[in-house]
Amino acid sequence: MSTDPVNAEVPAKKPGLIRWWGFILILVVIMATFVALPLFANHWVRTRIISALAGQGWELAPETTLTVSVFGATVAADNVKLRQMGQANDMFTMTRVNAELAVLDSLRFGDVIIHELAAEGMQGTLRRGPDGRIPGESTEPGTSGADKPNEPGGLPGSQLDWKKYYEQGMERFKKWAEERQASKPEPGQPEPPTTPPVQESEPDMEWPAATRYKPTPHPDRRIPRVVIRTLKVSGTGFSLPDATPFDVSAFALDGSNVCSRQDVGEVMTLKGNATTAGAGAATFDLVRKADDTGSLELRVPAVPLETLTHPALGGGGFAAYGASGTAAVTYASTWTGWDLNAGLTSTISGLKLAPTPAAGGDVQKAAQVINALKGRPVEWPVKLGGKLFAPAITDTGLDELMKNALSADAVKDAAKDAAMQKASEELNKQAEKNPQVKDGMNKLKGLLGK
Amino acid sequence: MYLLYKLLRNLVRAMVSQAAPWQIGLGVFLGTLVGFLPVWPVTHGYAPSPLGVGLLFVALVINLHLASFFLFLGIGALLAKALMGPATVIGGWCEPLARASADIPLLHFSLWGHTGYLGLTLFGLVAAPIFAGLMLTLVLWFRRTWLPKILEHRRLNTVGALANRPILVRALCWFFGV
Repeated sequence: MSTDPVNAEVPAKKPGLIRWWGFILILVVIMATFVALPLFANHWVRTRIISALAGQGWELAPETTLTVSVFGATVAADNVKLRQMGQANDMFTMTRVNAELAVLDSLRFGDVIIHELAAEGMQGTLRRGPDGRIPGESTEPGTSGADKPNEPGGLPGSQLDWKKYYEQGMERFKKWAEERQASKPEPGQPEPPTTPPVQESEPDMEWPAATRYKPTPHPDRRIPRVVIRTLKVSGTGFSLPDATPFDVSAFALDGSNVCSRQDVGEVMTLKGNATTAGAGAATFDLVRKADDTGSLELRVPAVPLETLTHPALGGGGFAAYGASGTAAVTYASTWTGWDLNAGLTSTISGLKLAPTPAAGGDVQKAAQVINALKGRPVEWPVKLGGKLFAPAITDTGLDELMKNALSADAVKDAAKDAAMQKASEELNKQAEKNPQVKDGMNKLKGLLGK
Repeated sequence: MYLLYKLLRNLVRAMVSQAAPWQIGLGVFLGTLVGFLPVWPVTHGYAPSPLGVGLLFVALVINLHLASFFLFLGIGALLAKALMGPATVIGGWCEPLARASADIPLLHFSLWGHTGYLGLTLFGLVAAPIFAGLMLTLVLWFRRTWLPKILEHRRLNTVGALANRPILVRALCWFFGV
């Protein structure tokens, strides 16, 4: 069958649904974005980190290198040197820090969830500067202990006031705790009606008439939280404000679900160990649960008591005792809410006191009693209670200490030795007076082979 | 005036193009919608809108009439610029929707939680089917009613132009032996 080529019309091709070149174009655009993104992301992340640190008064040394992997969602930093803004000395150095972000979880929960944060070769120092200030302290007059040379925690050489440091550190915690506590009902009181979280909005400066609403915050989470699922930190030193035997020479820290605000069912653990310059090793084990319960155990198995005579620790008063020996200290605590239930158990071995002549008579008497124990282990349990942010000693454990000391074999042995020595002296005196007694003693010695 | 002329010319060219009416209609629909939606409001400091960018990619992949798409994207963007005030008012009326959208990540990042952009998006959702329907009707009507007549007139013009050159007609007849 032939058709007239002049009148034949070519039927129009039916258009397909997909434009393949458009598909390829999008793929090319996506691939180009993937190639270009790391270049921009590296700069962007570095800028963000630097500005965040600057907001806290910190800066990174120029030799610190940051590497961002967009697709691996990791940020790695090598040769990290962190110092205070404008200062020449580094406060913290780390050979390598690696942070791996859990992107999907972060997007899902609206939090910053770090899958793993690992820091290696960490070194830090809080050593006082020439002006007596600890790095990070305000330089305004009267704000530092360095401005109060006669008070504990003042200029170098003065006694460290650990309680003061603890109180300062807990001050913020207490404030936060009180705010949180205030929102909770008293025991036995009904739960107050929960107020729905307020959805905040912000104006658009480029479009003043419009309002942009933010996502409604979680009822228990007004601000996004930062969670570290796995934490691994190892270091080679940490210097305290004054050079003491408690300067840390090596430490390691392992944690899971590390955060300040916990989700229901979440358990935070933190385990660490440290080796000090002259006070032996120390370990701690922290477990914190979302239902406001937790436990902390701190063990220092062998603290040489000589270290406590260091002027920066015990001051001159303790040095007068001339104490020597080893203390194994265990601090075990549990808490429910803010109620603390803790025990501090010290087992002191090889305790000897060699008081200076200038020490008072009471010290000399105490030394006689203590030295009579001949260094045998004595346990001293102290019980603590009160609140987490204001712990108080509920039982000094002195009664228990005396009971342990009196029931100790050491006392028995000491009494036995003293009695035998007394008897021996008496016998010798009698032997000198009475020849029959002397003869009997010689026979007894021959019988015993002595 | 030149812009208006170009717009009208592009509209007519879309109507007489080889594209199927559904391609033009879909191009107008998506073009208008993307024109009203925020795609990447950089000047306002926002990140790319997933909905706007997604629709742009869809327009590239689906075999719609691209000229219509970009033409109405431009028209939509111009209208959006002109309707910013009313859009804010409309967005303000739809405050519950803006609040609810802020809690849905896709809509939040597509700026539905912003009363201004929400108003524009609503304008776009209303305008897109209207424009697409009108364009589709216009194309169908034009192609059924006017296009055959225009083509007929063009054919007549060609024939008439040839007929007005007697020497050329005679030469052609001599050449072809008719």
